[in-house]
Amino acid sequence: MARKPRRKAAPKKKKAAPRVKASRKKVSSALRIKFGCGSYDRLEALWTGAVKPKGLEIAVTRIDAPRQLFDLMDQGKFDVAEYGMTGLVINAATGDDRFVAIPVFPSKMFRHGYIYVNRRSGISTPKDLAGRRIGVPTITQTAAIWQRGQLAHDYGADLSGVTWVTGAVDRPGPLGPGVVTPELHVQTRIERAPAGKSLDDLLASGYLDAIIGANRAPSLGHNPNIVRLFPDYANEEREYYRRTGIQPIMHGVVIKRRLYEKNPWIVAELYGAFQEAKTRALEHLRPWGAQPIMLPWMEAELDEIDALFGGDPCSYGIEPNRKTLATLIDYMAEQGFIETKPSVDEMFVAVD
Amino acid sequence: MSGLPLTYAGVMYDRTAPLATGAVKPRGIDLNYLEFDYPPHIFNKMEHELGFDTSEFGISTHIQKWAEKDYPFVFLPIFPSKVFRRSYMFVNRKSGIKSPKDLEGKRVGVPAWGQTAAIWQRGILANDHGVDMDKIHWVQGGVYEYGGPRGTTVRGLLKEQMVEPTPQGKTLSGMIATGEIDALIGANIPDTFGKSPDVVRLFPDARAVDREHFKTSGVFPIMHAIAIRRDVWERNKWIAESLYEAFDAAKNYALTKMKYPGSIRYMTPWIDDELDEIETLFAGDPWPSGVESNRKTLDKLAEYMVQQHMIVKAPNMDDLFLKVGGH
Repeated sequence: MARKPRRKAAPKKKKAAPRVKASRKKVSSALRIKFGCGSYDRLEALWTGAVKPKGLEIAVTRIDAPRQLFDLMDQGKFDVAEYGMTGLVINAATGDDRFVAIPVFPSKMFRHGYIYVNRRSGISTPKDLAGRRIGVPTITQTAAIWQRGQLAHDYGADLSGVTWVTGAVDRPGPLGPGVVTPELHVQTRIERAPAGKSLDDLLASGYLDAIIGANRAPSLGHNPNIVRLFPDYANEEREYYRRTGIQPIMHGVVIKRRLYEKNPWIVAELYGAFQEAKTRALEHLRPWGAQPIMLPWMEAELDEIDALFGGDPCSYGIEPNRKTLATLIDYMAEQGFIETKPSVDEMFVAVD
Repeated sequence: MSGLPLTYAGVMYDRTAPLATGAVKPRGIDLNYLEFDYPPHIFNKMEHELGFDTSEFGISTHIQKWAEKDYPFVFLPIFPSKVFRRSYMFVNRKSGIKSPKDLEGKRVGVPAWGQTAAIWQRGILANDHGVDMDKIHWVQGGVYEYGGPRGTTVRGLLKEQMVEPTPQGKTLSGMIATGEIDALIGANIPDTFGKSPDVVRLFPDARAVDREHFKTSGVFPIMHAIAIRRDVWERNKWIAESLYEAFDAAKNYALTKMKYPGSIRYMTPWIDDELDEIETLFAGDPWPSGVESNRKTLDKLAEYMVQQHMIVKAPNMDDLFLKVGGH
């Protein structure tokens, strides 16, 4: 019996590298570029070499610490890198043109499940967060911007009187050495976490009433007082997605402008390669007979990916993400990160 | 570093991939990882041609044959493939099957009656849902392409079991859509599922039912284990421990990667929810190595195999695996 995938054709190996119609400067030898990213399935084919964009030789550095990754890009250590959406929007709004962005979104995550409260704080609904002391790794963290926007818009929480306390969740000190709290256009009370304490410690001791952001509170599951604001968060997030069509984007991909201007053809090549790498990863997730990854209920997950996301839970391109991007820009303006809103289209270079 | 060169044939799972990428290297061994997509191809080549030094291998075949004279394999208690199988049972909507009991008297397709997935499913249907398996009319053949075993009885059983081969040119995927069979079990998802509105799951919420049963039984159905050619092992018995450690380390490596908190490692949007459940329900590791951690599951499979006339009596699982990992 020949192998056969479930539900759709699954070309696996030795598929030709993606060919994207684009005007392309003839290059005699491959252009070598340094690419920094996290170890995600949707990018994997780029470092294994299963997908090779034409005319490019990609040297991939994988760093599983987003803040560090973005800092290295800011320091010019990569030619192309995964990059936080907050920085990407601020760059567009302030005319910072060191980079150009392409509409590839390696990290999209629902974040309702990343809001933790101390049960003793008496917080049981989002509105109870008003006026509280809330930990956040950095005020600029994209996850936290999404959460603040959602809490305010979807749940009517008034966060204007909140004191935000910044620091790493799992260890004392700031999230990273490069963390700078920007001047916000909206009055916001921001403090640093007391020395020697992680946000998690501070939540457990009751100094903080809640933590938001992109990091899991280490005491969750260990300290009975630390619970999620939305205990049934996965269903909360499903309902949110069904209602809004928004799948929060955390990271995009940027290219050094100088490299792009000298070699504009690389945009289409890279975009095609990102799409192809993702397609392969999605095919790999489809078990047929055995499970590719150690999720015991993979079948249920795949059914949901098909039913809710039309088979692609990580869409790239501007159009499928327009509402999500516009919502993030709105939230960033409301929260004082930008004074003028860039349009969604002007944030990205054309990919075809 | 050059070590003993060994070939390993297996599917590229997250839990074994570190052995292919070199992220995990077995001590003293240069492992040549031969990637396959379809497990039966591996099993056939291993069983009939001793085609690899070590490979993934069907657990039920091992339970059936381990005591045979000159059995050419030894096994590691590493279980690369485990799958909850209720989500792999399909019915034709027009068959009138509403609950498992309704399968009695119906025509049920299966790619190979003796495949491990089907053993688990029959055992589950009979023991958990009270289905009388003697009242099933089995149709055996290829799910996606015409083929499969052609006989009218299942070979190698202790009691005669009749099966009807699929008609010339027909596939089980097609037959469940047209209603020529009423249901389909086995390791595969018919390609008509999601396309034909008549092909639906027997358990629409298979996850919830599987989860409830797992909570009480602790059984997470095992499909495959790791076989080593006996002659290869006899020459270098130390490889058993080295391979066991490496497979276990590769699994832990993948599990750590999956739990990476900065973003989702895989594109399953609710992987966090899954990871929470891995903590609460599976004590952090849904894929433990070793006989002890898998004994309930292995014993349950043997019990089902006795019921299904595949073996005379259930073996002591300790006899089926090399002593490794300090056990």
